[in-house]
Amino acid sequence: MAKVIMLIAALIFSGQLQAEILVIVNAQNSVSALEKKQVMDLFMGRASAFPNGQSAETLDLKTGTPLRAHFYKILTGKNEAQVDAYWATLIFAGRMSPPKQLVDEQTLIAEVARNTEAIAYVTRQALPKNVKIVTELPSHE
Amino acid sequence: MMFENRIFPPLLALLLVCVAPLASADAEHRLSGFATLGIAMSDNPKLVFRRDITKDDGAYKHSGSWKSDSLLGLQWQGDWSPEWGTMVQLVAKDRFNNSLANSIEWAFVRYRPTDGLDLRLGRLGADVFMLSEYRQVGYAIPWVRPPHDLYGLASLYHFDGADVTKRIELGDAALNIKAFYGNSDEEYPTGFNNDQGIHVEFDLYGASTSMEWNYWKLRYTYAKVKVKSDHAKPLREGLAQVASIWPPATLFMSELETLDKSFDYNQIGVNYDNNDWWFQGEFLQLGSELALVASGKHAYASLGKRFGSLSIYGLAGYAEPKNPSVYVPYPSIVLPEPFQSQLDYLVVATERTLNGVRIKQRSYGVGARWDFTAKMALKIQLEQFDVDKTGTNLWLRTDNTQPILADQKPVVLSLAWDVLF
Repeated sequence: MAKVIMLIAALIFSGQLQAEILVIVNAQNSVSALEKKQVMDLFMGRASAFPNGQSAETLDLKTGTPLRAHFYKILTGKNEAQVDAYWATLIFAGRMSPPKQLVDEQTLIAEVARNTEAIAYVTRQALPKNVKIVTELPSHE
Repeated sequence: MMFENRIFPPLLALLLVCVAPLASADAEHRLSGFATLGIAMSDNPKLVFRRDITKDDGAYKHSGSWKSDSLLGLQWQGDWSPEWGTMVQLVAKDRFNNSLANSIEWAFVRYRPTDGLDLRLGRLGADVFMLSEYRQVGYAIPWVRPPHDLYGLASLYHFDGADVTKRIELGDAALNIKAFYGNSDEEYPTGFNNDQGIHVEFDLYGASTSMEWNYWKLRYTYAKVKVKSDHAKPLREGLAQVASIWPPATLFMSELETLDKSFDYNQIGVNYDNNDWWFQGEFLQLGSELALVASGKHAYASLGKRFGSLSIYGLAGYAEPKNPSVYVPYPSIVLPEPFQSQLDYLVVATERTLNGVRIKQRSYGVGARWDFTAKMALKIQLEQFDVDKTGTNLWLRTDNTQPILADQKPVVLSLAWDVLF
């Protein structure tokens, strides 16, 4: 019985870990850690550079991807329609360029591995050596 | 004036496209756009509802208008490097004076020497009000259109010039300071679908500060606009000829001067949005040296609540001129025809011109927005306007020969389908 409970607990625990979101940059990026607000500033178009001044290129998933909706909900409390409406105010005012949208997580990881300015978000998973984690977002706000 | 030539922005855009291949290989290009398909319907037979004073067409009783809110915007954005970017935005919509040059909403080069400092040169959005820079992007705003009592008057969409923006971090808050200078022109229709209008040229400068902090956004703008055209000249010349027999003409001649006279905007705005409830309010005080731009106050407030993909809201607004109507005394002399008719015409034209610019109205409305799928929203909005008979300038008259002798209470129903792509 104790084994079963432990197994269930382990499953629940790992389930939560599975849902965690990793914010990743290129391993050569001198930034080692970011606060949630700094990630928000980058993904909400308030900043175009990392806190150390190095320019940043935000990478995003396509609208309608469940992970994208989850990421912005945790980061900002906004649903996707609100995020898209918010970005429309910046894009069509010519203030900021939106995050570049890529098709899936593997493409995001490959681009971060290649591009030293890139920052992206992915679900918890094994990452290649040339990619590092700068923050983890909990699965619940 | 810096860029008097109206073909400057198109030339700039062309130049940018030509130099593009010379720029770095890391360049990113983005094509995007927005569109609204909207219809406005009104129950009033005398007044024509229009989105703003640049429109010469709109909705009245038994005649809904597709032209008021429908538009299509296309944007090309080129990021050549972290420092240099360019943008061109074209908007196709019903305009009183439609042309390719007028359809270019923005076309500019942006230089960002460091994060948080932007310098822009070209055709830029006139960032005077809270919604100025995205007022045509229906998807970006909660209502069918920017609130009428304030934005109906706000006819400056863009200017040719320069602006500089600095972002300052203050702990959890971000402060943006912007200064701008440039010139613009606009064609204002004088009647309902009568093809007549006045062409007005402006120089403008100003500064705005906005602060974002948690759920709050606060904003203050000061802008000064100097009129660079003498658009009441024909009327003033007419008055000059009758000044000896109708002495008040001298006074009205000077009141109708516009060249090098200024008006200014003091604007404050507040927005609160905790992702559940939202509120937005804006207040504008317009001070004017020109009789042809009425000093006054314009404001609106709107409160909304979200239920998942559905949002409902209420809004209210008012516009109030500072000064009472101008009294134009009728000449006591009697002239032989055709001079009497000409004098009568001048008196009526003077009275119409001086008092026709007044805006005095209140509005109350409710609406809903449904984000039914990604990047698309449907909206419905119902408003009741109380338009004072002495302040109908945001509206056109269905019969331009008939004065409005009683206050009007049009009810306007609007539907819109907003898209981003």
